[in-house]
Amino acid sequence: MAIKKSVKNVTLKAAPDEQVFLTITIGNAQIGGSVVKFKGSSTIIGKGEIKNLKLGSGMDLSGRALKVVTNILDVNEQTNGIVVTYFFHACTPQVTVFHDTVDNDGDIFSYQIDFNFK
Amino acid sequence: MKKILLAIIITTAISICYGQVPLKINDMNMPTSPAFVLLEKSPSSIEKPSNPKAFAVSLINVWQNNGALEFAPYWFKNRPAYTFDDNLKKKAPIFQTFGISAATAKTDSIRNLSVGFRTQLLRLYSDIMKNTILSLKNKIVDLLSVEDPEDIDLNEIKKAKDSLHNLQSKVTFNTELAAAYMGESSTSKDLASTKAGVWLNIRWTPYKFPLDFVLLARYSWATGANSKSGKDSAFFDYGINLSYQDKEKNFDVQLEYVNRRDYSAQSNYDHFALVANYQIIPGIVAVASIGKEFKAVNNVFALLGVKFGISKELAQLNR
Repeated sequence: MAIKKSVKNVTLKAAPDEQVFLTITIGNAQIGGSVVKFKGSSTIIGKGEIKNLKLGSGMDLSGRALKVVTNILDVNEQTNGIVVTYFFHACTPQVTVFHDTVDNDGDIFSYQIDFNFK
Repeated sequence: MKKILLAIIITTAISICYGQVPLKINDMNMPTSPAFVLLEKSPSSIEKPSNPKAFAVSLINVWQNNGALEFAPYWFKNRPAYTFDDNLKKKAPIFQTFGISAATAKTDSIRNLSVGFRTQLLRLYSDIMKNTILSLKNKIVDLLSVEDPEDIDLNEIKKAKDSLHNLQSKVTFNTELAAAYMGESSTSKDLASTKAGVWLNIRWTPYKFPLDFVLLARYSWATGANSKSGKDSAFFDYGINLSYQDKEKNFDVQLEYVNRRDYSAQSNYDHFALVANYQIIPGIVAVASIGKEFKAVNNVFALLGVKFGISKELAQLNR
């Protein structure tokens, strides 16, 4: 059981007058869990399956970075492909998708992503 | 002490004998790779391409050398919106479980090529089983939800994943279809059909209920040199499996009944076996069993005896 890692950086622009929500979807019938917090803060604002997690208004988010760690376990015997979708309501781009493969059945893929709000 | 003496007397009085049983309930499963079954070969290595490019390379390898290949076309493409929960709820995962197998085997002058597929037509989990699977999935989510991937408890994850696969395999109502075709060629240009087969399996496994109902229909036909009788062969098998264990009362019973209708030979066979164990005291187990051989002759025999345990193992149906 190996862990493969990938570090990513994504820049987002949030609508200043709207509330921003985050939903993380693990595709390919795999299982994943995430930890969400703002860079520089020790407070975890979301953990586990993330659905409509309120991040704040676009104005509040401007200039901040959101750190998201998503660990995906390959439980689908039909494929070693993993795919994760980050959906930010009221942001551009709204959808960010990452995909990769693990080498063997039962391996873990870990994404460590910084979402930087302009 | 009286119990032990009685057991010794019974054991001495009755001889034990069990015949060979060609068909068991566990044989009534679908072939995982129908192409390999038809080819009657168990490949040493199987290529499993996960995208069209790798598939093309594997195909050439398999054709040029004796080899085997398995792939699931649906998963050649990523499915970002198809979650674990969606998959669990999917009642007819025909495309998701559609797997193709192919293999070649070359003798001196002839190359055999076999191609087959397998899919689940209907997959239903009981609500209790679904909830059990989802609870385990939630446990895995919790184990994965850590800031540093190095902090993931890999042993716990492995245990949970194995349990998950075990639970997922206990489909309450399962219908599977498989088929395969084999051809042979001596020139690498023409492919003459030699064998083909179709399997349909229906299994009902009620949750935490000791009975398991299985139905398997198989039809296969052969032409040319592979045709031994000049007839196609068609079998319709059905069976019931019971397994009950009462740990508190040190008692367990296993029952198996399988019936086969051979349409090509116009005959019926069946097989029945029952084993019951009762642990009198630790190390000494009373065993009762009854069976009927899987042959046309209706020879029934029964036995009742005591097994003096030198280990903690109980008598089991020979599966």
